[in-house]
Amino acid sequence: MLITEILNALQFSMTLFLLSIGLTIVFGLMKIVNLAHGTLYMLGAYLGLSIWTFSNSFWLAFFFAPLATALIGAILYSCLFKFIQRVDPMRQVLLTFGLIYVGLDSVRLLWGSMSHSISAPELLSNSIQIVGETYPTYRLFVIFVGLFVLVVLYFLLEKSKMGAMVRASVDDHETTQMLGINTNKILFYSFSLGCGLAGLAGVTVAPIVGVEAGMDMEVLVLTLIVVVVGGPGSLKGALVGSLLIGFIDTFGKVFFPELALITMYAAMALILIFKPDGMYSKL
Amino acid sequence: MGALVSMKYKIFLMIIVFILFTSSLSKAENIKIGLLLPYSGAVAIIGEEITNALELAFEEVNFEVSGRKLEIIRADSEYKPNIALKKARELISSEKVDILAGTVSSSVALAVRDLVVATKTPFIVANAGANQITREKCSKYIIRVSFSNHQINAPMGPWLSNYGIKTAFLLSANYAAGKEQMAAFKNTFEESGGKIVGEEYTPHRKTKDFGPYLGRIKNSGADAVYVFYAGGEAINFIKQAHSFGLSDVMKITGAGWTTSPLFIPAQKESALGFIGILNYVPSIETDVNKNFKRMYQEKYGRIASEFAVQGYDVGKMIIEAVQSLSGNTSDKNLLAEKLSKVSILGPRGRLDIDPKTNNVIQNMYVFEVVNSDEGPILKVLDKIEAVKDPGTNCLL
Amino acid sequence: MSAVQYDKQLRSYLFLALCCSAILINIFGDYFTQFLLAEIIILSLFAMSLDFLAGRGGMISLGHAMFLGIGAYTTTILYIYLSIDPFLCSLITIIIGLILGYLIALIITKTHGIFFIMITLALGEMFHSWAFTNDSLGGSDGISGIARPDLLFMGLDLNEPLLFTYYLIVWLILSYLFLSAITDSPLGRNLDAIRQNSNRVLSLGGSVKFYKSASFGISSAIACLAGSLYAQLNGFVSPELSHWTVSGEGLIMIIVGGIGSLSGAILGAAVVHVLQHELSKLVDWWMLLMGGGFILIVLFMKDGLWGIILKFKNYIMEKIC
Repeated sequence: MLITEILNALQFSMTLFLLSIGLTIVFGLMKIVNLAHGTLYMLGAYLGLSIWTFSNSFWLAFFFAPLATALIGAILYSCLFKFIQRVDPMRQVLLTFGLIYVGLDSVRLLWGSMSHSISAPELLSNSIQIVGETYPTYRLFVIFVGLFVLVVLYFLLEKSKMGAMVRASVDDHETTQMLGINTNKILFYSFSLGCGLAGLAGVTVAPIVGVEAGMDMEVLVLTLIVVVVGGPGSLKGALVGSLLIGFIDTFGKVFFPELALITMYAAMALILIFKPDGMYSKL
Repeated sequence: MGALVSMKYKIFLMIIVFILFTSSLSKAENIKIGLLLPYSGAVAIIGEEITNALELAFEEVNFEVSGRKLEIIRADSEYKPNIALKKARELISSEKVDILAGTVSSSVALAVRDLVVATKTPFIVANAGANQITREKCSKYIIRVSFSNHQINAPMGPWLSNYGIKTAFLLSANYAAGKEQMAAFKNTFEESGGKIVGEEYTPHRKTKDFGPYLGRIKNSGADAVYVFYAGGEAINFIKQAHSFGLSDVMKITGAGWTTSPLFIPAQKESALGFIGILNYVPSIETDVNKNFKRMYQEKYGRIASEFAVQGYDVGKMIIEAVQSLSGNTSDKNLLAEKLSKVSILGPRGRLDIDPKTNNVIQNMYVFEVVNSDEGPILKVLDKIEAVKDPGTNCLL
Repeated sequence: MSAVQYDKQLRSYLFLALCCSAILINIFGDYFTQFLLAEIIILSLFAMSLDFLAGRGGMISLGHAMFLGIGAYTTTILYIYLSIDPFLCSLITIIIGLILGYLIALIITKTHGIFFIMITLALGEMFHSWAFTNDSLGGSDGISGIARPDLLFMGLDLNEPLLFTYYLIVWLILSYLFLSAITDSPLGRNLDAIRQNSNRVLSLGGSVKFYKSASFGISSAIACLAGSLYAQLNGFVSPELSHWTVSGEGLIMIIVGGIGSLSGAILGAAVVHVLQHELSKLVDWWMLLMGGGFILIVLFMKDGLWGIILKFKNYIMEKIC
C-alpha cells in the first residue's frame, strides 16, 4: 500500500516538475509569469491525441507532440512575448490570462467537446508486482521521463557553455548582454524549450488523466505554487518544489481526504511566510 | 490624436448599439423553446447531444406544429448556477419563451426552480437527476423526462444481490448527485441482504488520479465496487481501474453513465466487464430505436448516447403537447398540464409521466460491456419495466 | 505601478452621470434589464475595491474574488444558521472583511510585484477549493434560501427587482463617497506617497506596513459587501463566485475603466459585463473573442476609458477658453 502511494506521489511530482521547470526558467529569464503555460500542456496532450489517432503509434505522438508545442512556443515568443518584457507585471499576467481563454476555445473549436484519452503503448500497458502490490508499468515510465529530463537539464545547465550563458542571463541580464552574448537568442530557445517541456508533460500523462478541455486550469495553480515555493529561476527549486507539493498532495488525499485540496495551499502559505521569495530563488 | 480617439469611441458605440439591436429581433408568432444547457466548458458535449437530438425531433415535423414555427433559443448555462439563473431570467422575461428546457446539472436546475414556478413557465427537465426536483420541490410546471437518481440506482440493489454480490464498496464524486446515487443503491442493496464495506467520495471534477482510492478499494475485499462518474472522470476511473488490475479481484459495477457510448471510444477494452444500469442503451431491439439510431448516426456521425435520447424525447413531447392544443400556447397552466399528460413510444421504450410527481415512468436496462465486431458495446442483461420514483413529500 | 491622472471634479461628475443613467435604466428597463443592472452595480463595487487597492494602494490582487466568496458565504451562514436580520448580515460582513483583509495583508505585504500577485492567487484558490469541497458550505452545489433585507415597515418590498436595484444604488453611492473621502484624506495621500516610493516614506518615519494593510482591509471590506449583496440578489451562493478568473476579469474591468479613477471602475465594470453577456448570446465561441479582447485591452488601453473622457474634457475646455 505504502509503496503504491510513494510511487503515485513520485509520478505526480515528475509531472509537476516537467511543467514547472519550463515556467521557472522563463520567469527567471524574462521575469514574466506565463499563465498560459497550462494551455501549452493541454495543447501537447491534444496534439499527441491527433498524432496518435492518425498514426496509431503512441511513440510518434510522444516524440512529435512536444516538438510541435515547442514550435508553438517559438511562434508565441516571436510574435508576443518578446515585446512585452518591459510591460508592468499586472499587464503581463493579464495578457497571458487572455491567452488562456483563447486557448480554451480554440481547442474546443479544433477538436470538439468530447473527452478523449490516449492508450498507453503495448510495451507499457501491463502492470508489474512490486513488494506484493500491482503497479501499472506506464506510471513508472512517467517517473522515468521526469528523471531523464532532470538529468539532461542538469548537464545542460550546469556543465555546458549554453547553460552557463542561460544562468548568467538569469542572474544579471544587462551584464550578460554587455559581454556580447546574444540574450535574445537565449530567451528564444529557453522559452521554446519550456513550452516543449509543458507539451511533453501533457502527452506523457494523457494515457493516465485523459485529454479534455479545461485540463489546463487543473495544473496551472499547482505549477505556479511549485515555482513560487521552489524559487523562480532555479532548477533545484523546481525539483524540490515539485517533490514537496507532489508528496503533500498525494499523501494529503490519503490521510485527510476531506482537506485534500487545502493541505497544499496551507503548506505553500507557511513556506512563503518564512521565505517570501521562495526556497532557492535566483532573483 | 483627439479626432482618432473620438473616432474609436464612435465605432465602439456603434458596435454596442448594433449588438443590442440585432439581439432583440425575433418573431412573435413563433413557439419559443428556451434551451438552458452547457455549451462551453467540460460538459459541453452533453449539452450538444441533447440539443442535436431535440433538433432531430423537430426536423421530423419540419420545425412546424399546427401552423406555427418552432424556434429554439439557446442559452449557455456554463454549468454555473449563478450564470444559468441569470440566463434563465433573460429567457423568461426578455425572450418570453413558451417552454424552458434543460438543464444538465442538478444544481442549476435547483437554482432556477423557484424562478420557473414563480413565473409559471413550463420547465421540462432534460437531464438533471436530483431526487428533490420531483419530490419536495415538485410543481405542476416542472416535468421531468430524464430520470431521478433514485430511479436509476435503486433497481441495482436487488439485482446485484441476486447476481451473487454480497459485499460492495461505494465510490463516487463528492456532490449531491454522486451521494444521492450511492444512497439509492445502498438502501435497496442493504434491504436485499447486502453489506457495504466502504464508501468514499472524490473531490468533484478535480480528481484526475484515482490511484490512492483504487488501492483502498482493492484491499477492502469486497465482491464488487459500485461507482458513478461521468465525463473525463468516468474515462479516467475505468482506465486506471483496469491498469491497477481491479477487475482481477472484484466486479466493477455502477450507474451506467460511467461507460456511456460517449466515453467507450476513449475507454476501449478497459470498459469490458462493467455491469451497469441506464434508462437507454443503443442495443435496444425496437424499430423506433433502430430508426432513431440511424438518423442520429447519419446526421452527427456517432452513436446516440442516453443524453441524446432524452433530448429527442423532450422534442417529441413538446410536439405532441402543442399539437393537442392546436398550437395555442397562451394558457401556461394548460400547456404545463398537456406536457405532463403525454405518453410517447420513444427509443427508450414506452414513456409516461407519473401524475403524482411529474417524473417520467420508464424502463431500466441492466447491461454488461462486452466485445463485438464494432468494439465494446453495452449488451442488455435484463429489462426492468415501468420504474417509478417514490416521490416522497411531493404535493402536486 | 502607475495610476491615471487625478481629477477630482471630473471624477465626481462622471459618477453623477453614471448614477443618473442607472436610475433611468432602472425605471424604464424590463424585469431582466433591472436584474442585469443590479449585477453591474455589484460588480462595480468589486471593481471599485480593486481600483482602490491598485490605484491607491499600489497592490494587484489576483485573489480578490475570494472576498466576494467570503462576503457571500458569511452572509449566508449568518442568515440561515444564526437567523440574523439580512441587513445586519451585510454590516457584519463588511466588518469581517475589513478585519480579515487587514490581518491577511499584515502577512503578505512582505512580498512585492509578481510575488504578491502569485500569493494572492494562491490564497484565493485556497478559499475556492475549501468552499468547493466543504459539505457544510454546500460544496460544489452551493446553498440557497438567502433572503433580502426586510423594509416592509417602510412600505418597500425588496423582492421587487426595481426596489432592490435602488437599494443597491444606495450602497454604491455610500461606498463611492467613502472611498472618495479616503482618497482625498491623509491616509490616501500617504498611500500615494508609498505607491510612488515606499523607501522614502519609510525614511521619513511613516509606517508603510500599516497603511498598506489598512488599504487592503478597506478594499476587502468593499469586496465582501459586494459578495453579500450578490448572495441576496440571487437568493443563493455557489463557489464559482470566488474562482480566480473572476479576479482576473475584475482587473480587466479596472484597466478598461482606468486604474485609479474610481468612477472609471464603474464604467469599466458596466462595459465589460454587458459585452460578455451580449457576446455569449451571439456566438458559441465567445470565450475566444473575450480572450482576444482582453489581450487587446491590456496591450493598448493605457488610461482606459477615463483617459479618453479626460482628453475629451480637456479638448472641450480648450475650445471654451
